[in-house]
Amino acid sequence: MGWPVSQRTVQQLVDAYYEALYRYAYRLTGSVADAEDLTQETFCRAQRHWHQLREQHRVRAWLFGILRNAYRHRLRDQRPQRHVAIDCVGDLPDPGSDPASTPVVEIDPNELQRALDELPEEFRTPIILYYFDNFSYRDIAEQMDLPIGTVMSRLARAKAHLRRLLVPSPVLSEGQRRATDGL
Amino acid sequence: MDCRTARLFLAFVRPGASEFDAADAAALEEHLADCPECSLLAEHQTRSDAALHRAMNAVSVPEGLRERILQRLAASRRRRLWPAAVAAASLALAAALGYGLLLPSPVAFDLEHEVFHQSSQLGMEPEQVEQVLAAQGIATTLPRQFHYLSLIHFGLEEFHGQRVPFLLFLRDGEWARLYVVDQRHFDVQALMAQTRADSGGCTVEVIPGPPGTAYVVVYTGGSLARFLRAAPPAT
Ligand SMILES: [Zn+2]
Ligand SMILES: [Zn+2]
Repeated sequence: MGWPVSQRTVQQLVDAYYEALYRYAYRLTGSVADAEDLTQETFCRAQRHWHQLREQHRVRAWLFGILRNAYRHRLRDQRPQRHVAIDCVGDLPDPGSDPASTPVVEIDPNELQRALDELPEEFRTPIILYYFDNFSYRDIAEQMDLPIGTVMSRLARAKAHLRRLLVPSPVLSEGQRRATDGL
Repeated sequence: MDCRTARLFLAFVRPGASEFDAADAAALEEHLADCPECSLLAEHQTRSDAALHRAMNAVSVPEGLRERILQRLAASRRRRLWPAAVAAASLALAAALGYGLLLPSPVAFDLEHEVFHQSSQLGMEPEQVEQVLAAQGIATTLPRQFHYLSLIHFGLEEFHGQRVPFLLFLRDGEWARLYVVDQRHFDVQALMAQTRADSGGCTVEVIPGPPGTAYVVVYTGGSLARFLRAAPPAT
């Protein structure tokens, strides 16, 4: 049995976070219907488990955590998805390669979604949080309950994956081009 | 700092964030100032990060989502603490009393009370609850016979158009909602003439308070005993 929380408080919570939570859910799932459902479920769980919120000032991290748990719960019930093997998810940048010299063009949000869908959840979650405002490495580490070093290395690899797919870089070496072809 | 180290740092650096210590950040800055290749790479990264940030946030939020969320939340609140049976019990008491408007409608009744001390109210004695209410400008005398360990919430709630002191007890999966009414706003004498009504699993009971006041208690479970300090006398 949950604790009652005033309707006014819940409404303030919705107003402050529903858009950010929806965007997060959409980037996690790649589906409008799933994202909406996850967002609604997140607020329902928050209302029901209000007593579990220990620190009022961490309410945003708490809500994002609820959403991620709900999402992972659903993932377990679904068929395995096609993801790239973790080994292929970008290595750290090769210090010997030439830096790209063309200006960055805008990235198509839909292409970004396709690139995200290819990533396993443990890489997708940190990279989404990273590019959302104000999530520090420490925030992400707490959110995922991982050491900060693990988060940083997953992020570096996920970023390399996104850049290779989305950011034009005409001065790739032969070796890098081959590595990218497999994805 | 050499190019190799600089590029490792670049893989982790985040514009506007201070994830590294000042000495490392300064060494990187120094290298970038001297090395056109690394500084080009850094600039490229900054721009692609900015583009990824924009694309990541470029998700349009569906029309009406906020309202649908609020509706679902309201529905789940009603399911939890406002079974239809309570409405029926309220009507039964109201009919018995001949005061059709005396008891609140379920709509006005839907947990619209103020929240005080969400987490610190556990284990409070009635005197302490009175003090907290007094600090909010609400002078009231609460019943002493209740078991305050099962008090999970208190505050003000709408009761027949008045905001009145309100307690919510929860025990063994049953609950009791207690409203303090006084003669400035309610006909307390008439209320006390009829003291109990049952309907569909819910009971409404009127308990006399200090002169000029009464406690209206709506509860589930068929008996108030579980919410009271002492076991009821054997009959
Ligand atoms: Zn309450
Ligand atoms: Zn260099």
